[in-house]
This record gives sequence, structure tokens and C-alpha cells, in this order.
Amino acid sequence: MDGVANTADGSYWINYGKAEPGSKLIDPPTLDKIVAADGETRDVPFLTPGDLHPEPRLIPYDRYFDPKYVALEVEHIWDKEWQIACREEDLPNIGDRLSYDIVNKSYLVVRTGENQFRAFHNSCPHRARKLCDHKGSGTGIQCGFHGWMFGLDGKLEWVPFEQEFPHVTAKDSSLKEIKVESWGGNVFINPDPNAAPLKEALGPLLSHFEKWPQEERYTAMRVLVKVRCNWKAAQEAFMEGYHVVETHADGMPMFGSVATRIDIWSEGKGYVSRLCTPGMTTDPYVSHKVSPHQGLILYCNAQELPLPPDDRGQTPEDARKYAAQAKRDQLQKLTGRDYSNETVSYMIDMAKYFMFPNHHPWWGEGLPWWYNFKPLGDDPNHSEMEIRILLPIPADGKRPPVPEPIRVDFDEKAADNPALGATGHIIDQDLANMNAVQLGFKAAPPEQAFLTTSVYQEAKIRRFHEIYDAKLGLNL
Amino acid sequence: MVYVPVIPGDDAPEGKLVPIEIDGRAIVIYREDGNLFAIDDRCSHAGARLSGGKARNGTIMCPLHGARFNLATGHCLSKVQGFAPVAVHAIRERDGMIEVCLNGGNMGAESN
Repeated sequence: MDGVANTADGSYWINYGKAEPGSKLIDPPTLDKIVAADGETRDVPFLTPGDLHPEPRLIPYDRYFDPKYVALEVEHIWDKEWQIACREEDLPNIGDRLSYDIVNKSYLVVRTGENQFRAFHNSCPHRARKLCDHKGSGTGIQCGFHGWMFGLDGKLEWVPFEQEFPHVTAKDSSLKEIKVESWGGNVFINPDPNAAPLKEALGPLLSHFEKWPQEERYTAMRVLVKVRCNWKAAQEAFMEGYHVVETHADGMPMFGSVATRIDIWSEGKGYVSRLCTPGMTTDPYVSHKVSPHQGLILYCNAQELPLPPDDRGQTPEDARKYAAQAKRDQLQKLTGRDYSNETVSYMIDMAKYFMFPNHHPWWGEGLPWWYNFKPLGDDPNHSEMEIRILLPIPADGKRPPVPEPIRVDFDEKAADNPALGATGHIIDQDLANMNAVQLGFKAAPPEQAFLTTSVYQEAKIRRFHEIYDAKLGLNL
Repeated sequence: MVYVPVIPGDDAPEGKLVPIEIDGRAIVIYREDGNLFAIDDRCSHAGARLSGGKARNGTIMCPLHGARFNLATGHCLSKVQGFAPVAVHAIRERDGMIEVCLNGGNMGAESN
């Protein structure tokens, strides 16, 4: 084994090799047992089980590259579903606005009050120019082409040389508004005027995040990564923990991916599912090579926590306990908030929810990330992954300024960006497969041009396609 | 029509996919709402064992890629071209034993 000898050199990971080809797992640990061994089961929302077990499902590859699905997705998903346009902190002041672009549609989202947002079709009723290119601010909305001016409420207020337009009225030529609602500091839009309220789409998220309001977090880092694969394939890489063994092999000493628990809900009308991978748990594929203490050293190194003394982390339970306490201390120092009542699980486990069609909020402090995936323009082979690290706002309530997004273009490495560090390393690992997956969809022989999904660990992917097929009216 | 006794009826409870072999041919038996079904244990799409899949409402779903078949007729319910029917066999229960009559051809829409 390559050993744990020197972690003081600033490297994030140490290579313990991969799972041995041919090896089998007998009676692998479960998340429930690992958490039960923490001895504190209160307030652990993943002990609320899902109630749905998706059946085997035909999921043909053509939906990942055939342009006909792009049009169907616009009609049945992007024009119909609640989707996140931004976080509230992206628009800190009244009048701040940005352009939310999805396939070939665009919406202007603007803060109109302390807790109020509005969204409009991002197109001038005069001669179509997008009213907001990327982002901006001001007391009104003015078109950059001929200067037509609208209020923040979208009402047409001024037409230069107005006698040229006796036929134009504010009633007919104001901006067309679409629905906006906020939850957890996220600004959702829905272009469908008949859409049901957001809370129906949120389903169990409402109760599961009640004690941990996401509006009390802020974007500490934001990364926009262009990916050469379909948006569905990109996000499906994040719908299972099964890829850790190969894709993040160097994380196995500290992520118990095989113990990942999957939950899927039929509750309400929300289309919500979740995976939870225990943090600071050595994967059984490498547990014969890495002691809990060695895994803990790696964990602390990766999370920038103080390294454990020799007598800590001698058992798996104590490794989790040490990691959780170090994380509590780290966050308390950073935010002034009190974490003494939070469970080990909240501090170190990695629970990621999914809300159809494309939102992935993480629960807990283990990996306090946030993902969104969307098509990039109308090319089914291109997508954009948005990653945010959401940290708790300090106890004094002062929100740190919103950082500019870090952009990673096609074929760039995230780790090459000095601002990303360890985060970039993980992003690169995850996305390294994506273009090859997209090419593989097209290279498959006809009889194998369907996803093969595992019974349990990949059930969330089947659930996504159950919903997708129903929304698009596909009857396979 | 030769019925061959294969397993005791108790070994095929409601809702359980039971793989058996008759003359080297893999068959899966399924009982639902009192009705018995016997279908080849080989998906016509990519050859996987259907017995590892799921069955409900008179249909069986292949675990590998999710192709669906009518348990009574063997016809593929998936609207994707090129998935042939799977052979089904006559099946009955006599004196506590399940008996299957192999369908001679590759395909049949015969049921009990």
C-alpha cells in the first residue's frame, strides 16, 4: 500500500489503490447501522424512509442525443416545471436583475422588494431584443436597442418618440410576467401560468429542511462548468454513490459509498429522491488496507481540519465522532454559530436530495453543496453544471458578498483554477467520464442501447425516467 | 399436449417469480390473483433471465433493460421495434402439483 506516511505536503488524497477486480462484498455495512453506532438518532431526516421502489424500466439511449427530445423537453419540462433561476443572494439589492437562459428561452429575474422577486420573458415587446444580457441593476428595465423603458413591475413606462407608436399601449406592450416563488433562498421560476404552487413540487423537501433552513446559507463559491454531454447524463452521474469506487477511488478511505442509502418518495406531487453516503467511513473495498485512524487523517486533511492525535479514530465510531467534533469547531469558528446540538450525521454524512427536473440540494455540513444541471443551448450534447458551496451565514446575520462565478469551459480542468483547489479535483473526477459517456450512447449496438441500472443504488435514475416519460408522454 | 409435473403448488406462492428447468429449458412460473403463468426465462431483447425482474398486473419486466412482456401471450408491451415475443407455456395445478406443457414452437399465444 502507498501508505499514509506524509499528508503534510498539502496533497488532498492518498492513493490506496482501487477495488480489486474480482473482489466481492459480503454483507457490506449499511448507513443505518453506521448512524445507529453513533448513538444519536434524533433529527436525522434520512431515517424517514422513502416509499417508492421503481421497477425495471426501458431507458433508450436516443433521448440523450436525438434533437427531437430537446424540443419535447422544452414543451413538457422547461415550459412547465419549477426550476431554479438563481439564489436570492445573487440579486442583493432591489432592482438587481439577471438573465436565466434555458435552451432557447430566456427570462429576466429581478428583485423588486426586500423579499420579492419577479420574472418576465426576456424579450422587448418592440423588436425582441433581450432586455437583460447577463445581469444588471437599476430602478427600471430599459431596452438597449431603442430605449423602451419598463418598471420593475414590467409595466411599459416610456416609449421614445411616442407619437410614432399611437397603437402601442401599456396594456398590450408591457412585459409578460411568469411565476416566481422562493424556497430555501432559491428563486424558482415557472413559465406555465397554470402551474401548481411550488410547495407541491417540493414535496418532502419542505419538512426535511425545516430545521435547517437553506435561506440561512450563502453562496461561498459558485462554479459553472460546461460539459460535453447531455444534461440528463451529467446529473445521473450524481444520482448514485456507485461511481465512487472507480471515479473517486482515492476517496474510499473516507467515503463509505457502498453503504449509500437511497430513498424515493411518492409523497404529494413532489418528485423528490435522496441518496446518503456516510462520511468518514472507510469503504469496505479498502478497509483491509486503511485503518480508521488513517482514514481520519485523510478526511481531516481534505476538510482542512486539525489532524487527530494518535489515540483518536482507533475505531470507526470514534473516527466519525472526532471528525464531527472537528467540523463543529471549524464551523463555529467560521460563523459564530453553535453546532453543539447537531448530530454526527449532520456534521459529516453526505445527503443529496434531488428534485425533478434538475435540482440537487445537499443536506448537512458533510458536503454542503448545491447542484443544478441544464442543457446548454439547444445542443443535446452540451450541458452546464452549476455548483455552489453553501455555507451558513454568520451568527451576526451579515451576508458575505456574493463571489463571481468561476467558469470552467469545455475541456478545461477545474483543478487548474487555483481558486478551486480540492473542489476542482472532485469536479474533474466526476466530469472526466462525461464526454465518453455521450460518445458511448452513440456507439452502442442496438440491443444494448438502453441503460442497465442496478436494483437499488441506481434506482433514482429509473425514477427520473419514470417521471420524464410521463411528462413527455413517452409510452415505452 | 403433455403436462409435466414440475414443482409443488406451495413453491409458487402469489407474487413470486419461480425459475425452473424442463428438459434443459429455463422457464419462469408466476402466480397472480390465482392465475398461473409460465414463460420462457429468457428475454427476447438481450437474453437476460426474466426471473430476476419484476412482475405485476399480468406483465413481466426484464431486470436488464426493462423490456415488458404480457405473461399470458408473451407479446412485448414495449413500443420499441425489434423486441420479439417470448414463448409462453400452458400451465395448470393438479393434486397440489404445478404442471407445465411445453410449447413446441419458439412462440405461442397459448394459455391455460
